Amino acid sequence: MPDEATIGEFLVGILPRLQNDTTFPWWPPDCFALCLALLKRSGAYAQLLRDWPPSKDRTLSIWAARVRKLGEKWQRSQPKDYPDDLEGEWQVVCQSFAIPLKELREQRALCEALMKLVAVADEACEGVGAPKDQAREDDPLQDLGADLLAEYGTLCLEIDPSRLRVLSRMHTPQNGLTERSLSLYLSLCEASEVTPQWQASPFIQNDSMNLLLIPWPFEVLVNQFRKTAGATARLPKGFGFFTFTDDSPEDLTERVQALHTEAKRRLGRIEGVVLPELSITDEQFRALRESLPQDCFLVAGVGDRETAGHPGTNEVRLSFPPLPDVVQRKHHPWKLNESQVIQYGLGGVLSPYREWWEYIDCTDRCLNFISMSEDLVMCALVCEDLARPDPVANIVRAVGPNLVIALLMDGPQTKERWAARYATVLADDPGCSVLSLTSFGMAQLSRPRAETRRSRVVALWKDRFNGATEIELPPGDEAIAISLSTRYDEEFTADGRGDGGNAAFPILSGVHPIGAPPRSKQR
Amino acid sequence: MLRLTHHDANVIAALVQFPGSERTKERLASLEEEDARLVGEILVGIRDDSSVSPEVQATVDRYRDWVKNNRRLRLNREARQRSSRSR
Repeated sequence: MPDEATIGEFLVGILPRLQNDTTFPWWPPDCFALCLALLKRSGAYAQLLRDWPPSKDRTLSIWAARVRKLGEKWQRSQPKDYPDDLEGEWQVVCQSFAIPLKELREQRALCEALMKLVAVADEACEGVGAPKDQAREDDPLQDLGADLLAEYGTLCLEIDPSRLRVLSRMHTPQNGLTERSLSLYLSLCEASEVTPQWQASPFIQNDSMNLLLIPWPFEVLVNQFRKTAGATARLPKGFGFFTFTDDSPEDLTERVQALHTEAKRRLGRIEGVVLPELSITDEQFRALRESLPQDCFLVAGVGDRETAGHPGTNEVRLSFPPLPDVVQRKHHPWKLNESQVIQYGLGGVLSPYREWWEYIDCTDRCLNFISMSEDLVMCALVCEDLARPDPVANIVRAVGPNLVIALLMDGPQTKERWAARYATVLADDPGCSVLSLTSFGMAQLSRPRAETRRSRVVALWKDRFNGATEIELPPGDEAIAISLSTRYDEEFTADGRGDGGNAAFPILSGVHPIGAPPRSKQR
Repeated sequence: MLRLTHHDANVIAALVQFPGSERTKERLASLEEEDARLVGEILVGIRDDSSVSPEVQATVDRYRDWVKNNRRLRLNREARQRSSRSR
């Protein structure tokens, strides 16, 4: 039989210097990553929590208070320093290097030491990576943490991102029991093909936020879907590639400006404009960005057709001035099967007896988190990326951004359809609020066989506290302004620590259909 | 408002959040664009903002407002935490 992996081998695989140098990992995210990865790999946390808290703490509140105090002490430490009280726990870990991994869960003292190191490191990192206020003049942990996150997409200092990453965390799941249940402020992410990028935007968060949703295009034509002949010829019979082209020369700028003006007149301010998947071209995006006020962010699905055998592009652009615009490609191509070809009435251009893959470039995978305030981190997903568990969903679940915006090219966003199901999953675990938005044109094109046709439902909202809310575009209107207010609630880890009621949940608090002023009404 | 490079945006965010950092000088020196350097210098208080372009001024104002807003949010967080933990 091959040799069993030991605890030492496992930890050296994450932090190679432990082979020769077992000094304490003084940087809290590194310590967190090592210890939580070990608890996760062995599943020991489940066994440990059957009999919790440790006997010397007697109650959960004593455990939580003790760990919090140590965390605060570590947070105030100077670089390379750490609370002496943790040295004993680290020695227990180091003395266990020769123990096979599978025996870890039987080692109660070791499991308790690992859990304590995880919990104290987590408490030490409260607020790391979140926008700050200059309150603490010299704060090495926050200072260096913000740099690491922005520059390398991880909070780790000694652990290379090719081994593990640690990111900030906004939500802790309140159901089930996984390693994600064990921390409030830090998340452990496996090394992955996806590069997470974290950007702090100087966004001014009021008590509520208004977003303008424009379900553009208002018309999608069947002949905008085309077989990609050259690429299809390379595939076996029964399969094909398709491309969606939006060659509309329409200058959207005036229309969007008019909708923005009208929405602002009615709501007082508009913080962001959102457009669906493949709704605009690069040129339209640039013109729109130019025309909107700089304090208004823009999240839009931008596409480009395939050319001369090169795949097209399908990406979300996130524009938060003064930051540079961020581009995130869709991670999964859409596959149209027989029922979808029929649902969207595409049989005249794409045979229902083939499976049609979207011909797009899915390389350079990244996931962008925009940190807008200590209470608001958002990310955007494109269509399939909401449904597929990897490569991005696991990172989304680990971080638990407060707001997830899913840009779709899909049928109506009714509660019964797939987007609502996946939004519900994210709202339940880890607790994200999810907005999905499709175009009115695609919702109109959709004629499902079984469902009642409700083609004006262009968006859907789901959060942890309320059932899914369908958002309709009434006849004669061209956009919808929604208001989001922040609700706070306390989240707890499985070991019994609470965040003091600071978990923030954007909640839908207003829906206002917006009709453009008469000058730009063209429908 | 200016459009900053990725690097400059990160550096300016750090300058305004951690003005007492020992890395302030190093950060200022690493700014790539001239306008970004002006923003950084004004924010850390080594240059006054009396003769800068409206774009630079708007960017400076935005970061100052952001920090004030972060302070308000932080105070609210601490109040919620105190209230929750005193129960």
